[in-house]
Amino acid sequence: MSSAEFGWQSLLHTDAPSACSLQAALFTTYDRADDRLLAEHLLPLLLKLSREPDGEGAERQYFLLELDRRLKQLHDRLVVVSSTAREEPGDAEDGESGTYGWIWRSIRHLTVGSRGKAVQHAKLWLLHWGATDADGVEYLEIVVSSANLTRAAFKGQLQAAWRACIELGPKRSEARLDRWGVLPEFLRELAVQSGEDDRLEPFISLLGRADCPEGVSFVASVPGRHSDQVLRRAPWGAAGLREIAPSGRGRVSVDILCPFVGSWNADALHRWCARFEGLPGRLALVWIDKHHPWARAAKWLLPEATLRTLSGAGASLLHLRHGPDDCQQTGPFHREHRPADDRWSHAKVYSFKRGNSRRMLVTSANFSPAAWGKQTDDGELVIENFELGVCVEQVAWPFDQLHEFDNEQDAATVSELPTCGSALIRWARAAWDGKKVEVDCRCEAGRELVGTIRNPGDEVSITNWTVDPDGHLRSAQVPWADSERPPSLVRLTCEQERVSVPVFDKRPPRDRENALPPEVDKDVAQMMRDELLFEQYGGRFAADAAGEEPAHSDSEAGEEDEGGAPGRPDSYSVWAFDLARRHLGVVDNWADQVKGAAMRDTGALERQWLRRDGELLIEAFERQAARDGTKGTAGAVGAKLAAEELTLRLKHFPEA
Amino acid sequence: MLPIEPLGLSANQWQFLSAPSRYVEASARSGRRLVPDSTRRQFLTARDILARLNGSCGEEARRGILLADDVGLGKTTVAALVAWVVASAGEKRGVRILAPNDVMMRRWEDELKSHVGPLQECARHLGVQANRVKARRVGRLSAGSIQVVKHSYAASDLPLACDLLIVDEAHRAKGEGTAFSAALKRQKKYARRVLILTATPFSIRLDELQRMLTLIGGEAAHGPVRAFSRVLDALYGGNTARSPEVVAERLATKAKAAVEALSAFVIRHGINDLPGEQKSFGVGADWNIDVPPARSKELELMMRMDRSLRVAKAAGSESAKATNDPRFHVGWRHFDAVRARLKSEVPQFAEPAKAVVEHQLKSIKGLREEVGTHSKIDAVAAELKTAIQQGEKVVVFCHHIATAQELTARLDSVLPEVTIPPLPMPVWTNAWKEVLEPADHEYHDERLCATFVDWLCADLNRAQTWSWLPAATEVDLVDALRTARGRCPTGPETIAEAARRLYHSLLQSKSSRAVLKEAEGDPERLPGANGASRVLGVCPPSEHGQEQSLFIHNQQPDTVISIFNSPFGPDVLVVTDKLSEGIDLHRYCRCLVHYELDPSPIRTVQRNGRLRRVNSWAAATDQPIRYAYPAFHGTRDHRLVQIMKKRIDSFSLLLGGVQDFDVEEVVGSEEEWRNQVIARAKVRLAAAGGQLRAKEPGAT
Repeated sequence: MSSAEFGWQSLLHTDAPSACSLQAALFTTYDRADDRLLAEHLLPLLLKLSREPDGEGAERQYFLLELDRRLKQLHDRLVVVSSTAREEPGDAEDGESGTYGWIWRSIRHLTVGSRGKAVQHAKLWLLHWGATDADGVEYLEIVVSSANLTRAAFKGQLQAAWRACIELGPKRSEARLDRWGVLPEFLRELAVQSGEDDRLEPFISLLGRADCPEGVSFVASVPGRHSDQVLRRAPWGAAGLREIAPSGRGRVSVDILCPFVGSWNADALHRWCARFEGLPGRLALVWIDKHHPWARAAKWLLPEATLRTLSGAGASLLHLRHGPDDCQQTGPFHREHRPADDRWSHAKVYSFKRGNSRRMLVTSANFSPAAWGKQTDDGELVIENFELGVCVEQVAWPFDQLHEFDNEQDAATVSELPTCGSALIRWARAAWDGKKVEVDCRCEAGRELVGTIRNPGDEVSITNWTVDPDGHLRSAQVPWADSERPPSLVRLTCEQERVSVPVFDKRPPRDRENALPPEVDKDVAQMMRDELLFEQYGGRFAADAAGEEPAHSDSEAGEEDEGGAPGRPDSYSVWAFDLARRHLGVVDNWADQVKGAAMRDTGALERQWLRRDGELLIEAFERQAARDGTKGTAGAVGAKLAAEELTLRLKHFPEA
Repeated sequence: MLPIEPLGLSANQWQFLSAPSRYVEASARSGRRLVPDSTRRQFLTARDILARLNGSCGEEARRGILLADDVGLGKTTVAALVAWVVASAGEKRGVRILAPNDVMMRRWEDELKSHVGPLQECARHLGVQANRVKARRVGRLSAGSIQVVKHSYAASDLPLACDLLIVDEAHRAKGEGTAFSAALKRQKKYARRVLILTATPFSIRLDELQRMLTLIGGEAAHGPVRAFSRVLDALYGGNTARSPEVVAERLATKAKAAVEALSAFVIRHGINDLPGEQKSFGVGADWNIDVPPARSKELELMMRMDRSLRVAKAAGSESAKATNDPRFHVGWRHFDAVRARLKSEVPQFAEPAKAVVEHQLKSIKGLREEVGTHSKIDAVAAELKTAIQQGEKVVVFCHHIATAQELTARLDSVLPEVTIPPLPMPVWTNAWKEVLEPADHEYHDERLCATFVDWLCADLNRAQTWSWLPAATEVDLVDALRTARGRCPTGPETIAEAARRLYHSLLQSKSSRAVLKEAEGDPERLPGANGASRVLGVCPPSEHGQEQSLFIHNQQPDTVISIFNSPFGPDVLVVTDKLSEGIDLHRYCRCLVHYELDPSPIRTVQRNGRLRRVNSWAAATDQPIRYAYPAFHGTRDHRLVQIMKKRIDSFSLLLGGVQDFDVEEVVGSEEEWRNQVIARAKVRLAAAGGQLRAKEPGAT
């Protein structure tokens, strides 16, 4: 699809003003985040990179270095939380040899399961946009969707998403935070289950600085066995549905669109409906027939038993037909959706209706007890997954025109749902401090665990595990001091199960600054980095600067050049002066940004970046002076002046 | 349109213009010998103008004519002849001449009066009298009179009623809103005929040229002129991706159409179109002055200053305007002045600008001490020293006063010192007195003459004169002065003739007479009187006390110009562009240095025209005119020279339609493209331009 609105990149978009820069981000996904999707699509967008990943030669290297630089600036401020994904045989080597494995040195990758069995199925993005305008306004952009961070999810699936970009107030307020309902608590639970209790606290603070949009409420699930008492405080899973269902008299009806339906029995179905004052008889499930391409590809799954339960309880099954591929008729998903579109719907959307009021829930939660919780006989709700949805007012439901199946036997069903064996390795993390790699892992007690630490050229076995008293948590510290070849991955194997964990670089900033993406040519990396840094502050486009030569190799040589042999390519202006002005223009732009950041209360991080950039610019200009000097001694003056001036300006750098 | 009233002339009344040889002979007898080849062309031009203005010889009467000859071809001579004929023939008429300034007014007066003798001999019927020239305000212009006034006079309330209004350097009437432009528009109806003189018709803005055409009744040419002007605009500011062939074709076509439309109202000769006259102008030649490339410390100084001023500007400094001032590239005087000013402002700046500028100024101070004299000034001064040792006079053009001051001071310190000649002073005094007698001039005065003799006996003049005399003794000094020639054995006049001519020239000018009078008690008033300085700065004097004597003491340069047009006095004249138009510097000088260029090609052409004129020293001594464009390699000065040399090459081809430029903005490939276009259109452009030459009245 080519439409920006309905194409595969429609989620790759931001509503934040263009002048804003990303200061922190949280992404949650079920599947392990796809390095390539992040590096080639999502991060270039959010980090506002100027280079394209698919360039060749130097352009490719500039892209990698630019991405690397921005990631280092945002070191530990980008967080991805996923389930602990066990590797399938097909992608066994992928994690190790992946082109972009290095991005995880700066991105904090967390998995759930540190406190027990848990599945991370929510798809939430929280993007903190810093201000660069004089008004100092920052934004929190929230995206709740059904999309995992994989290329398959973006390119091969239709997703439902809700997005809001909200101005941030200067200070956190508890009253504001309360208006976000279960969302802050959801983040706390997610952090705890990730083994990093405070890791998501900055994002909770951002919620405390933002007003929850009017008419919007959140429904979340967190794994665990939740008592009534807990659910009254934090209505997880189905317990939260009562709060979002339209108020009024009469029963609530629900329409459901989701690709995966769990195993429901009549009692569980009834109890689920009762949570929002509904009845199974007022439930309608949008479903496909067995000839539908999505059924043939086993993308939409409905157990036969559940179909019987639904039928028996009086629920409706609405027939979502697949038209002929050459049909130009608009489908219910979107006005641009056509039958020839080979993406399958991964959207999970629930529409609750009472009387004339309708509210729609866009969520990660499939229609399954694992997502919504299964009520035990003693009244507790047992939830397996982290799920998150957002509920908004809605007038129309696009599937209203669908008719019930003529014959429910035509509905696509599976005899049984695929089962996932109980995970032996539930959770793991790895970090490197420059001297040793620290590995923590929650593994089935008593099982043999084999671990190796890798980078593209090396592999070191983990031999000395320490085990906590209950036998589940194992830890190891493996010496690794080679900063030329930083560790990239920890591979853990327990029986047939294999998990790869990226190694986070927690060295001090100065130590990790010089690490390069493996693909980058070390011989030219420094020059390219310098050029990118200059470019960031308005210097010449780096690829152009690299090929620049003065018309005469030494302006002191005294040779008489004619009009056609100008001082800089294609100009009669004086090369050394042009160069000086260009370099000093970089200083000016840097100084302007420093001035702007100094005027903003919220510019602390920006000031931190600018200060470091100032230091880096000094070093870069000193190197540039040597490079420029090879083309004529006068050529070195501009860079020398720029370095000098930056040194002076840094002495007067405005502190917070 | 107003009806064209008849002028009432008859072609017989300018018959003398058909016999230039006789007139040339007469001019020699009256003390100013005209050059035959040039006189022939000038007379043809005058005949053509008169025929067109009067409607004679088959020509339709025209309201006006635009004479657009190249600089140095003698437009003033042509116009003076026309003025005398119109004013004096038959029933007589009134002529008014508008000159741009006092210097030009005096030049007009001289020019007009120089024709009195020859006209009395060759055109007695005109009955011309010198007293008919009125270089002043007059209440009512009487028939037979020629009034010479400044442009500003036109703006007075007085209606300039006359039969012929001559507007010299008319391109100075810039802009719709200027007083002169408005005044011309208003005065147009009082003048029966208009003769406009300008060397650069297409160098001015289109609307200004259109206004000139309107003044002379040439509205019919507006369309083609506009079209050509647009092509010129596109050449200098348009899309350079176009095919040079296509643009060249268009340029040539539009030029031809414009020329055809203009040919009824415009007469123009390009200096390169007159090979027969080249000998009397002198042939231009490049004078290469080697300037070492800018040292890196010099460049660093400029870059540091550029930076300091930029930071200061951002910090609110009001004096930091031109951060990369062209003056910084050609000298240090203005640079140092700006540095001092900036230093005084620094305490008011906020941090970090204050720290940055302070640091820069500290570095600049150290570098300035290391660098010392400016490399270009040093190199040019050394070259001029050699030229002077070879007996040359040199005029050096600067664009800025500070540069002129600095160069003047430097030249004074390096030019060879005067060697006092052996003969005693009274011998010189007596010899000069004898040489100057009889002083048959209306303003002759014994005391003025004595002052002039004192000046001739000053160290510098004595030393110079002595160097021209082969082997003079106390006894034969007078004879030697009467036979030897100044500066060059093949020069046009003897030393005595030159002294006499200079004396008369000084007497002729009111301001020079005043200077002579002042010099009686204060000899320093006369350039060169201090006896030591071989250089004179014609610009406001510097504030350095010890340099005061190196500059002229008033803003009336007549005296300096007269002296420079003699073999005596300062060898080097350092001038600004105030002297780039309308004045003669060619009588004893064939060396011109563009030390500092104005970004306008017109200005450069005008400067060159000061030496390349009829009766030039170069022609008289059969030597080339040397034009030097010393360039400070590695700075914008060098770039400016590169572009300028190319542009003035095409100046005449484009009828002066070469535009000014900002050196920082000129893109090399685009300039190359322009040169390609002009090269491709060259032959056709030259042919088109040739159509504007004066033609024999009545000839088809």
